[in-house]
Amino acid sequence: MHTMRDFGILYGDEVKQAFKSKKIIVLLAVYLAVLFAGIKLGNLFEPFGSYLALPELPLAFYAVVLLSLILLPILIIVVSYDSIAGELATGSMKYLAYRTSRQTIFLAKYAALLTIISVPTLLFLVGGIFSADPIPWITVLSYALYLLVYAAAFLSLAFLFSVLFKKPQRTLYISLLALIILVILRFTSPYYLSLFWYAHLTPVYLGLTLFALGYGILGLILFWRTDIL
Amino acid sequence: MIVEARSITKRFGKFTAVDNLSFTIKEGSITGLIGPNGAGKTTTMGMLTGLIKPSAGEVLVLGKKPEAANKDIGFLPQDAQLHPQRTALDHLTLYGKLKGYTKTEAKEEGKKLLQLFKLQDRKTGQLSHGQRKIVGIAQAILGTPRLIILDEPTAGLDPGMAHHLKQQLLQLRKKATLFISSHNLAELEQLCDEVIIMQEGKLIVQEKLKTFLQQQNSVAITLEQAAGSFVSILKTLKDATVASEANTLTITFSDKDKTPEVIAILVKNKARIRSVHQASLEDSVVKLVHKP
Repeated sequence: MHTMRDFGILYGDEVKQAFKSKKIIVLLAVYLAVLFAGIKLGNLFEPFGSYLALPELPLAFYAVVLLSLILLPILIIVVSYDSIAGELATGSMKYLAYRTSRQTIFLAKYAALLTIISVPTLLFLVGGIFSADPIPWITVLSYALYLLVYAAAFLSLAFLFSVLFKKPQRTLYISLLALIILVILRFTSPYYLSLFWYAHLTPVYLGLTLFALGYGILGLILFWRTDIL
Repeated sequence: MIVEARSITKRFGKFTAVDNLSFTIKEGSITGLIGPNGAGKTTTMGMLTGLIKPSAGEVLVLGKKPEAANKDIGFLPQDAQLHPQRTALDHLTLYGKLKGYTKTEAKEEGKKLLQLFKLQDRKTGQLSHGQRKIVGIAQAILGTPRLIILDEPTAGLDPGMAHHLKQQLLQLRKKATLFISSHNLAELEQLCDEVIIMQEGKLIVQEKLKTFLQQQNSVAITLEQAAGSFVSILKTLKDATVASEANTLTITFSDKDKTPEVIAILVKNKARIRSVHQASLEDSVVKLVHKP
């Protein structure tokens, strides 16, 4: 009972604080501006149409999906690197962690950041249903779900690093480095070495969900075991 | 018992911060946790609040694991920063809600505490170190939890605020159990009715304060001149140990009190005595944990 109530309180507080954070507002504004530019310059993405396997769909829709696939991992790392590590480093986590369970704190922060990051993307996709060249809602739902799980997967990885490295700057650098290495591996190595191995699982949602759950649960266990000094 | 620590040990790698420590805290008491730097006081408090997991042993708060008793605990951690962008009232409202209050109630409680400590509702990043400490204390006593644990509550406070806080803590003892760590032993002597003394991670004393001071059977004699030269003279006393610091002699009797005899010897040797009093908690602790 306490857990659900505490989750709601912390979730609401995290969302509220995020919208007071200049860093998050600027990052979201840049992200939205890029998505908007993608819609306006959708024709530039024609060569990627076959890669995305989205026949018969407007190029502006491709643009939003493709730009989200590229930008979301970076946005997630930059927005979330200090979510746990920052509070561990400054000690402010102590004020929360003696009042409520670690899993409540972890999940509330996770859900709040996922909301903040996903909502703009989902709004852009939903906009497709009502555009001049409407997209079937089932297609929008399918891609919205895909991007949501995609964002969750990277957020899980970012939270795992945040708990593992405990210092915000270190977490940021290592997360970005890991992302670069894994992207390189994606194009140069067998798929099982790549962060994007899930793309080879069928259906792709299953792979991404396993990825999100696996790294998320690992991060949660590590956080639960961490001594908050 | 509100707290039971049963053979708790905490190791960080090869270093043992707390070593097989057992103690209890009675409900309604004010217990002081004393020890030199590195004695394991903060680690012990961390284990009582569930922030630090013991490597061995068990802590029970109200008969439950600390994590299960978290709504009954208030804690002031040492040197923990508050979010600089949130105001003092934002912090207190959030923590009040987590305590179980509605938003309106939490805000009201927060305002009352700000008034009590004469604190302005500003972003904590704009407050002084002492003012931030007060916000930390306010969140610990918010809603008067059954167990309030304070790690160095008066460090960094001005004397007026430290005095005000002491009065508030004495008021709280009617409703809560307090467990306080401090290097200000004069202050603890005024507040506490029990003391726990730690050294190198181990418990060396748990006793009622009054009994502990009586057991020490010590007298502190302050002279108008340097005390060092009188140590060798007093060494002739049987069943007594003598120590000096600046112009104070601390004499501990292992048997009966021989203060009149000591004074007679000092006067005979032309010592000018300024005051004689029972050794304070500070004298006793210094003697106990810094003995050669």
